[in-house]
Amino acid sequence: MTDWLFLIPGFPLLGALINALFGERLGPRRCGRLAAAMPLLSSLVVLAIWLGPGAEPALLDRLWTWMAVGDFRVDLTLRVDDVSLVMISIASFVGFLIHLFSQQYLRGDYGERRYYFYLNLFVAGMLILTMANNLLLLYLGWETVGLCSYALISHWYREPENAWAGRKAFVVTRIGDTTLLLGIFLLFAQYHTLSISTLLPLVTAHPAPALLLAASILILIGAYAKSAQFPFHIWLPDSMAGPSTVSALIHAATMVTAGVYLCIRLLGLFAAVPGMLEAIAVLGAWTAFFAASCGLAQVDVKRVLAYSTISQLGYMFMGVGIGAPSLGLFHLLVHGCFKALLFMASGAIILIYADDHDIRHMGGLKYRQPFLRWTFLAGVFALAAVPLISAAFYSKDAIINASFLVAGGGVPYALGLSGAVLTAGYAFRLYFLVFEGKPSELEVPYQMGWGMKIPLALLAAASIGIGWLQFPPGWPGPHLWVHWLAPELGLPPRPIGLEGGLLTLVGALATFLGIALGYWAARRERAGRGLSRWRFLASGWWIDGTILRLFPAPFYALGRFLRSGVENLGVQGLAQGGLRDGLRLSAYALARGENGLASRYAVSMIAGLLLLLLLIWSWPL
Amino acid sequence: MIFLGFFLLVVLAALLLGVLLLRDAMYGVIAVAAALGILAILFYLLGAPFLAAMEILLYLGAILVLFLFTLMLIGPEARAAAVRQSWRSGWPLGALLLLAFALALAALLWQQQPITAAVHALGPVLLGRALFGPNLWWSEAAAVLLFVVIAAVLVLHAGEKDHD
Amino acid sequence: MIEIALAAAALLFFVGLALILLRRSLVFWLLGVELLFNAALLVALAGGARWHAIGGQVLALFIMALSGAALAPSLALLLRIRRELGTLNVDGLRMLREREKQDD
Repeated sequence: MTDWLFLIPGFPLLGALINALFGERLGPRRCGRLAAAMPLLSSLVVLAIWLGPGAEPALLDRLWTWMAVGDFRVDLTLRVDDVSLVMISIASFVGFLIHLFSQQYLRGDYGERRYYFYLNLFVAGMLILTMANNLLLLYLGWETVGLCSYALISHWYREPENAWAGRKAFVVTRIGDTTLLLGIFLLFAQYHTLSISTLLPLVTAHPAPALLLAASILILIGAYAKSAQFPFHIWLPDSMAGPSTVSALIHAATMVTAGVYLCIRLLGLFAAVPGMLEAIAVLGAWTAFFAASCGLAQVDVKRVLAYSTISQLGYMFMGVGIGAPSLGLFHLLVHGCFKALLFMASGAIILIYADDHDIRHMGGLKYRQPFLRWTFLAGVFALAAVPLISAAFYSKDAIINASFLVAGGGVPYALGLSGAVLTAGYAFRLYFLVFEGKPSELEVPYQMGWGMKIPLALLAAASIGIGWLQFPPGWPGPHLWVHWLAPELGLPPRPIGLEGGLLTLVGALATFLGIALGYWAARRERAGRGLSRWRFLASGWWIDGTILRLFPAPFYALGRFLRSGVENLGVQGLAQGGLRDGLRLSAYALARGENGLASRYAVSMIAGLLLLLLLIWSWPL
Repeated sequence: MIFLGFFLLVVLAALLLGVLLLRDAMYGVIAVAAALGILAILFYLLGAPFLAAMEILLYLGAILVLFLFTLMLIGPEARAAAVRQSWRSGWPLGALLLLAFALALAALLWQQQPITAAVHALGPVLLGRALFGPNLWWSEAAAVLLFVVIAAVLVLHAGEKDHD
Repeated sequence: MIEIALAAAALLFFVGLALILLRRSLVFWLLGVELLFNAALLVALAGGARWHAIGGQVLALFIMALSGAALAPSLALLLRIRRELGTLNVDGLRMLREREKQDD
């Protein structure tokens, strides 16, 4: 089995290659089918791992040595343990569903082949990232997904705003990439290895406090930029300029989760720095609360979901920070399912409303699109963590409840709980505005084919049912997840007994309160007096504007200064003509030496050769 | 053995002097051919029988024959014209070269330790093993190079309207 | 024996150089190049004989192949030059450049 691990990222990579080389001849439809087949093949291999040996002990496949200089050695090793098995399952299977959805969604659009190329490349990059056993290989996957994200956000590049959104996303994540690289350098300088399996035991055995603090902060910034956490979240809402399927794959299920994955992978590193995990928990909870508050005021259907993603990722980081990484991973899985569902459904919604994104112009979609309505509702239930029948009730509420138990968990608990109320609020506000009420005249009839319905249906079922893998302690039902991951990630704190019951009740109450809030907000929005008029919330607490005013401005100024300065220097030089005349004279002199007499060339060649021989001979060795 | 070597050296010097002084290109080629034949004997004395055979077969049999063909293609008139204007620079350059040669010879013979070594013959089996063992890639590269040369020559003559 | 071989190599080398420098016909140029190659060949063989290494013969064989590879296109070019310029004079090669200028 280990010999076939390379196929998992290999298939999508092959798909991208075939697309690049022969795509012109194959045509966009066949390219699309080829591209969709590749993650399916990868998920079949992943399935073979699930059904076969499993990931305990971890599967290791050493491909070849990438570089070996002195004592620095980087091997291309793919490693599948429980955590990465979860990640590659999500990436390959949800990736396949999204490819399937794209077949009908993007049909006839411009750049279809380019889309499938980057999509396949992206899946390959994500799989490499999660299967890498070496930090440098992980970074390779990290960069690949960043590049594909940029390319896919700017997919409809003919509108300049889309290109700008892509650039913005790329630049912000680049900051994180750079700090991540610096962190990797620091770790290598201290421990002389980048192989994850050997690095972490070394870190716990020989901690170097100052260096570890610096390295962990740098790596954390990298994770925050990639996962759009505060204050690096500014790129995600604008990245909605790309196709909804791109948002579904990259900005819900896979790329943004890379930051969470990195933190889980390097948990040993963060645990070795005192106070780091607590900080991660607080920051995660704050992001969750902050983004949820912004989601209540958005009028673009995809921007609501963008802020929702930022918020839910905050919960995952919170889970990692309070010492419950397996719960964080659980929520990652659940979120991947329902967020991808919601994004794909929103893509269909946008098509139905003839490319209008404004939810204030929508309404009453439930009458003409019942299938869409029920699947979307399943996603909304999961988002709001409706008790018992949604998967997030078992994942997100578990994280919030666990934070209650942890020392110093008061702040995260409060923020997380309020965030849950707001989450249910914006989720149901979205649902009510789009599907309930009077039908809007903007609707066009749209028939979804099987290619679009199957992914929505599967993900809707998952959004409801996947949570039943891990019931809270003491409840009847399966308790598979936590115990399966316990050897790798430890057991999370979980409230039991009366405390547990009370906390669960409070969580359920928060959800219902949020639903009521959403209903109220939707009513006000319909009446034209909605929260969207609060500039503070709608603009994301003005963070985006502030950052854009503060940071790029000096660079632009520098550029302007350099251009005028260099121009002046250039003009000066030309006016005096020193360089130009000097060059002309020397060129004339050199040209005399080329007279075309082959024999003279031969003489000079031989003379030079003999001179050289003489030099070599007489050189004291 | 040494006497044979000296004898060969003298004959070689005479032949090469001939190449230098003869005007007609055809005679020059014949002189070079004879010199290379002498070299082949020298190779054999140095313990390389296979290379001696190769010298005859390849150099005399193929490369110099190529020369001869080219000369024949050039035609007798051109050769005659070349004969009329065969020397270019005057005696200073020639004298310089002679001086350099004398210096090199002197450096060779005034060695501190004479290079006396018994010469064993290293036969074709060893050569074959070496060529296709550690030097396999080089051999293949040389083969590819020769293919490329064939292509180059074809290209060089591709534009000619009259093909003989 | 080895010294004799080296002396012969020196002889070949300098005669080859002389042919290139002192003769006006392109044919003699190429003959000179041939002699240079053979000089190198001889030195390689002498080295192999001196140290009883088969590498000397291997190198010599490659030099032989290379010289053939160099010579074939050179002869082809010789024929082309003869066709274009009508002469085999070495100095006449300068006319190639001037012809280019006129053609521009």
